[in-house]
Amino acid sequence: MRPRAFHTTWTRPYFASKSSYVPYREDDFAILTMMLSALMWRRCNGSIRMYTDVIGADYYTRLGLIDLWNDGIDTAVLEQTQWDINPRSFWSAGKVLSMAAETSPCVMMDTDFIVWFPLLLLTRPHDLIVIHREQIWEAIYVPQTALKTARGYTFDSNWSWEEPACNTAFVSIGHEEFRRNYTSEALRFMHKNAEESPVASAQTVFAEQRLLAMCARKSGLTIHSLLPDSGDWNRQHQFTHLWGHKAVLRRDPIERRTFCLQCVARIRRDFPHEAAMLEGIAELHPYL
Amino acid sequence: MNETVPALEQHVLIEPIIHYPRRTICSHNYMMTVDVRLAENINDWPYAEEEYALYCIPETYPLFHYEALDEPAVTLHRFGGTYGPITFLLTASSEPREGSLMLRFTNGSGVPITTVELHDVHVVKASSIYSTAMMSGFTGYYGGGTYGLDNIASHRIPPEAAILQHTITTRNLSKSLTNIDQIQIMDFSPDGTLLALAIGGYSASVVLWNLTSKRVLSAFHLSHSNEREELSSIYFLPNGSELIVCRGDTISTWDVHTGSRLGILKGNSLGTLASFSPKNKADNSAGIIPMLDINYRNGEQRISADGTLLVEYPSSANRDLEDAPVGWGQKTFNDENPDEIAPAYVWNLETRKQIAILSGHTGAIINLAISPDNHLVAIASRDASIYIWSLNAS
Repeated sequence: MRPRAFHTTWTRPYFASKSSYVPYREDDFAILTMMLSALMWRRCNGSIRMYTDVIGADYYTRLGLIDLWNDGIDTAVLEQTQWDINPRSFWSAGKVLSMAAETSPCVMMDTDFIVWFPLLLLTRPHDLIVIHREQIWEAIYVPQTALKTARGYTFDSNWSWEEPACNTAFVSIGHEEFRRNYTSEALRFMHKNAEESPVASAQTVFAEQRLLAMCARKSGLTIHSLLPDSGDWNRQHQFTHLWGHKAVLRRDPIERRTFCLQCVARIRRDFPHEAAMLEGIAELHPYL
Repeated sequence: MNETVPALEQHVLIEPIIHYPRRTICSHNYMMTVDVRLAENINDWPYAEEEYALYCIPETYPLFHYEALDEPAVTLHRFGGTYGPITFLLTASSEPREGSLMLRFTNGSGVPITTVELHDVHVVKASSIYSTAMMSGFTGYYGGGTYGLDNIASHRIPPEAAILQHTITTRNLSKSLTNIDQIQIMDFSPDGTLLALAIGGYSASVVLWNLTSKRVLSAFHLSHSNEREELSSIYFLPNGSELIVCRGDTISTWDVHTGSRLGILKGNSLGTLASFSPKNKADNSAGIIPMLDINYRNGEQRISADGTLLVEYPSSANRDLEDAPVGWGQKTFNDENPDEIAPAYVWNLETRKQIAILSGHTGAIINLAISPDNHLVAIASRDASIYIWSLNAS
């Protein structure tokens, strides 16, 4: 059975970070990476869905990307959530909400993450596969005592705080009970947890990445990593994760143009039928 | 970590580019390279000489012991770029530490120019390494950093050029054999409908897999007391019903349907085989490989029967090194690809173009075979599976 993948774009953190209203938009390189991510997944691994809110869906519709996700665009999940979540603290909560609405097996993939090959491992029974593990750096994964919690919230005494976190740029959960357990625990932590941490990402990486590993450990599940714990990941051919390079692209116009031209060339060469989508995106015209 | 630090303080025309490990394991070896380039705002060559040499003296104690692998000088040429970076081999201390590295730059006369300090370098015990985030460009954000950017611009064809037909797993063969981890060699029948799998060493067996029905056709043990040497090769005869098995200096022929031995030849097996082999099985044809942009420095190759296809994969000779930790500068087969699931690359030898990457397996490649019609490639992987690929690109 081929698991279904999903992207998530939750626009609330975008607006929460602005002091005044500006229309929602994404960078040209982010759009191109997202297109490659979805198209390569469709070609190599199967179907993919986009979970977003109405603003995100409207934006993608105006860009002409409505057919990019062959399993459609879902706005119901992120619009109708009953959870009270601070988007400034938990800017990645949209992913957890999406995962909570799924059924296993399913693959959660960031829009800046590309899988370049058929990932046959996913067709076999598995509990949890992540792209890689992360050491508990206290500057990011703050100690338990430094985490902000909602009134009345208690940490599970059976969680192991030494367990290395899971990077969630790519996650496949094949264990339905675990999926429910993890997402409910993550949402329980985020719900009405309004106080913001002085460490920008501390709250959201705990809820999304560290809790995933802690819940898996408590459940006795084996966590498989797709990338080895050591080595130069730039030398592998299977995955691309843009992540921190986005900051480079924002400040370096030459690098940005080079990157975008490469993405456009790749889409035109490998996906000639979908390349027409590029024409309708004004942000991309400098590269066409 | 590839880092361009601010232009040298007293020599603002040149910027150093330093590639160095930031999170390392005790007692392991790593590579550090030091290169330079003209500062971005410099349009004209600022020196009277054609070339300008800089010397670099690292101070790495107590984090690392270092050794320069060549002269510790980098020479910038007026026509752009250098002749290559300085390379240092760093050996991490045996005890966990953290601190800074200092790089002192001098000109050709030994006059100090400036010092660059590289902060936040860690040496930790192997057990505490769970992420190579720092080594992969980690610059203070969570998320493991950026990787795989070169894949976007790489000139490989999309995976649709090769389609996975099916896999053969231990479960498929369970009625015949319980363990296929020891698959040594494979061969397709002349009509491409059968795949012969030679399994095991001294108690060798052969399984015939029907690619059409996806079932085992027959299986038999090669159990003869005078044949105690390991299998070296198996080939189908052109009639497709007989199999040649080479063990040590002995060649035997077998009926693929009944599993009975039909005959035996003694002597120089390789020489004898070459004289009647129905296919040209030359695996390493000198003169062809250098024309290709081969992906594995120490790779192995298989060439198709008609000589038009070549498939390369990581060398089995180095396979035992897989489990060794891989750091920068370590010379394992994984030097080209540190991931255990290194792919196989398919080349068209007529066009000299790479036409497919076969990368679905989840363990290292043990062996590989190409069907006589060039349509199928079988990959035996250490994940106890055989992957049958269909190449739909000419």
